[in-house]
Amino acid sequence: MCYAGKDNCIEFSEGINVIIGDNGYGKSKLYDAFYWVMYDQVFVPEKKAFQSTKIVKSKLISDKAKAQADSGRVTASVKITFHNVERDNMYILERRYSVSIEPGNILEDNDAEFTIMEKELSYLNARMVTDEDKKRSILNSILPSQIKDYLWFQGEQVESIIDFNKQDTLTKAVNVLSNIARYDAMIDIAKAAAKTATTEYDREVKRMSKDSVKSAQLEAHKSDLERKIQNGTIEQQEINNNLSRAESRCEELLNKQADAQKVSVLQERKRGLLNQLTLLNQSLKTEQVSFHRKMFRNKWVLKGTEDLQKQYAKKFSDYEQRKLALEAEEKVKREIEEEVSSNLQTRLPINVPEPNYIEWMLEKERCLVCDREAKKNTEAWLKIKELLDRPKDKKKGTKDAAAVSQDFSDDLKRLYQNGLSLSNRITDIDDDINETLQSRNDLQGKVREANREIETVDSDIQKLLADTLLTSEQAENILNEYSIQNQKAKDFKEDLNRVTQEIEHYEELLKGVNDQFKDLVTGELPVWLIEKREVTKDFEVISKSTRERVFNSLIAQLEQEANVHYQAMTSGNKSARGKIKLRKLPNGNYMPEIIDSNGNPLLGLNTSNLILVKLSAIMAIISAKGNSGEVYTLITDAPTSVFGEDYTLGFCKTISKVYRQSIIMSKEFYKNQGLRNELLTNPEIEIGKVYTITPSIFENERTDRSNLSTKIEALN
Amino acid sequence: MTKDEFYKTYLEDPLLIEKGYLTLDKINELKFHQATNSKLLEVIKIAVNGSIDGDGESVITRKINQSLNKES
Amino acid sequence: MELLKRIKDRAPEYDATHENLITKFTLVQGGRAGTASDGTAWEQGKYFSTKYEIYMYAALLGLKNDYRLPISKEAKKEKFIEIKSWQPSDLADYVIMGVLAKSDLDLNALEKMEEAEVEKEILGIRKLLEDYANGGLDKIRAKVESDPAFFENNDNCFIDLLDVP
Repeated sequence: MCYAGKDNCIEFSEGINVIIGDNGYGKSKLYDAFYWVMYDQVFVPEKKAFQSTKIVKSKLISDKAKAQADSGRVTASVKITFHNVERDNMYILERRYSVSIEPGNILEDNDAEFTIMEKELSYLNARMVTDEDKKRSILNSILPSQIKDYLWFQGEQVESIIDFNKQDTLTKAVNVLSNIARYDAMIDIAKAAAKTATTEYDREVKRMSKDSVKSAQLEAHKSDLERKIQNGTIEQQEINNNLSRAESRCEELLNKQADAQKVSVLQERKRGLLNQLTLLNQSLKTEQVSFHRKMFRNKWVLKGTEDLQKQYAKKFSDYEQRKLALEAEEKVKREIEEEVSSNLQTRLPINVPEPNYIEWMLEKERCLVCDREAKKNTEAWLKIKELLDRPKDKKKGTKDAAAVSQDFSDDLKRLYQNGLSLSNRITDIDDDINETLQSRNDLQGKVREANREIETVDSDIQKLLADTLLTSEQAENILNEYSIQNQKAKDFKEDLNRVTQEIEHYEELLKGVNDQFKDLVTGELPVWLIEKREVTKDFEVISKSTRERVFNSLIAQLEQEANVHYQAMTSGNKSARGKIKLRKLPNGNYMPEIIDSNGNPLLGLNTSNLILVKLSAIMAIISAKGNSGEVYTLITDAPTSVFGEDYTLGFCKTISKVYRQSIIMSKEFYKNQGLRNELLTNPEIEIGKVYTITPSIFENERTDRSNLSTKIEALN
Repeated sequence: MTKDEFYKTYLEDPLLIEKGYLTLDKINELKFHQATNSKLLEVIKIAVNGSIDGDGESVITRKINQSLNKES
Repeated sequence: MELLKRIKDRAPEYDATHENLITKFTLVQGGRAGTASDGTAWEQGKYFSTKYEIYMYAALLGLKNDYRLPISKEAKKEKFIEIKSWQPSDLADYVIMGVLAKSDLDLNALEKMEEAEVEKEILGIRKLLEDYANGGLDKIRAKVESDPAFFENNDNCFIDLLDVP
């Protein structure tokens, strides 16, 4: 994000001021700006921690500014003006960090410069504050260090600002309400007093003992027991800590269980869809592969070739007819010949007379049978010649017959029949093609749909995982982890019992030893000494129980105040919201729960409820202490990212009641126009100034940052 | 927190009533500056005073011991 | 000898200039007969598994459009597998039928011819087939040149080509 440029100035008023922008538009940078001025630190997301200017250095300066300057000084500076309306004065805090740019090199300053100007509005000019102590006190009055964590925080920090199971954050929170440290100091005093009194008493007892040897033994025994008790107590504390951790983890897991269940269900669905997709893809491939085979298997290639078949059919039928005709001709020819030869056959048998006699008769031109003249080419002569020609004709006939040797009709017929059956199928080809195309398209459609569904389910899963801060594995393993933690808790409870009993046992023994000591005493112990010992012991007990009582009542106060906020924020939500309960853990810490009207914990509430609980607690700290909300400004970046719409509005309403001025940065109002309108017009929300910020180049196009700038627009 | 307020929180402890140091109505009346017959209550006052005044632990302990060293 | 068998013993040739076109759309095999599976052709983006397939396609294309394009005499020719190995055989027979239909061969006369003459006629049939196939290949080539996009992102291109006049 880039705020480079001279005139980026944002004004805030009373009420709830909102900076609206989508992810990556620069909301966090604004928060960083506030924080940097006050504390010389910025939040580094990769390290999830604040780091000082000394470490971050030139990264503070925007790439654009660095790119635009060829040489000279480039400075990042933030100026915040705090205006105290009642006292009518202003403080202007400015922090600047510079680098020197030479071609190819950047020289970084070590530190930032920080100045405070004070301006009383009755005067015209502002004065620089030079005294370091005064500077510190001004900073502290703007934002006391004790409560700064509950006034200026980032959404990501909400979880950890109050971790009820950590003594330090818990005590810190309670300390804001009342100085619990004093009670701890009293316990120390009481312990010390009791110790000296007891020591004195014991010494006296020993001195008055009639048996110094026995005394010494008892003494040794006593120290041994005391040591054992002390060790036992330490162990007890450790076990208590472990037990508390296990118990609170169990509860955490139970809450996450509901979410994990949802994730699990979605993941199961995704698996099913993926299987389906695989099957579909296989079918599609088969379909596509066979598609082209159908060109030949289903004879699509014959499309439009009906004419060929018809042409051939004609040709074939012509051939057949002609063939038949030819055969008929042949037959007739043969018949004639046969008739001729059969005619000849009735006159004489073949070769009677023998050919050479017939030749002789023809030569002589005389018939030897009837001995008459047969002149050449007369009828008689020709009749004689006929006898000779007879066998020759026959031979010629067979030679003709032999000439018609090939018969292709079988093959040709086969071709015809093949052609016929194939061409009958040609009419169906178009339908076949269309059907195949249709089913292929259907499959492709199904594949696309399956892909879309998978995408949707996947993004639902990712969103759930992000919202609930679960990882995919954690979601799967919650039940496992739960049973492990549950078992641990059981084990720790057993250990605790054991150790407690041991301690009790040792204390019994110790009492016995003390009694034995007393028995050894000759004479009377001074009354005042006995009383001293008793009084200091009582004092020790009282100091401990009072501290506990006071602490508990502060927690109760916190709980009550938090519930006021929680109820207010969740009033818009229809689903069960329950009540906040801070349950005491074995180690003296607390665990936040949400309980129903019967006092039973409501499980399966989602993460947004739990964040709301924490926010309610944070606000309770400020509101319970009296008028802090009046005096100090809440500045927070995106705490609403886990909420839904209803909660976001409830949150804004409550904030505007608890804090006179607040500045929140949010993406919730970015896309949701309805929500935005609600924010601007709802009478229950004290609205201040509302701005939208948009970058000149959007995130996914942002490879070159040197042209980036931010546009800040006021909506009201 | 004033010394009186601080003192009062200790007076509310059930042990005091149990052991007969105080009765319920007495608690409400008792003010910090009022003298009591109870050694314990005096010890508590010393501790409250010293703690709020910023005395060190050892100093306060000594004062307590001193106050209890007398024959009553 | 039977007519069909003799015709099918022939291995037709194609103009070598069409080689690129053929390999563009045909799966290149190890041996002549083809050993890869149907899936391989699709995966490789090819439409025909063997050369005779595209040849049959081209022949039918040429036949139905009556586009007979003799191979130029100087052209280098490539031969491939005999018709009797073409699958499916009924399609191969159909192609032959088509060629016979288009030829002006006198079937009756054929039956009466001498061996050598019959042989000559059969060769003529083969040449006729080559001419029609060449015509079909030319049509395909022309389409590739004029409208390469037709073949690019269109899985159905050869099916659509069946409709093109």
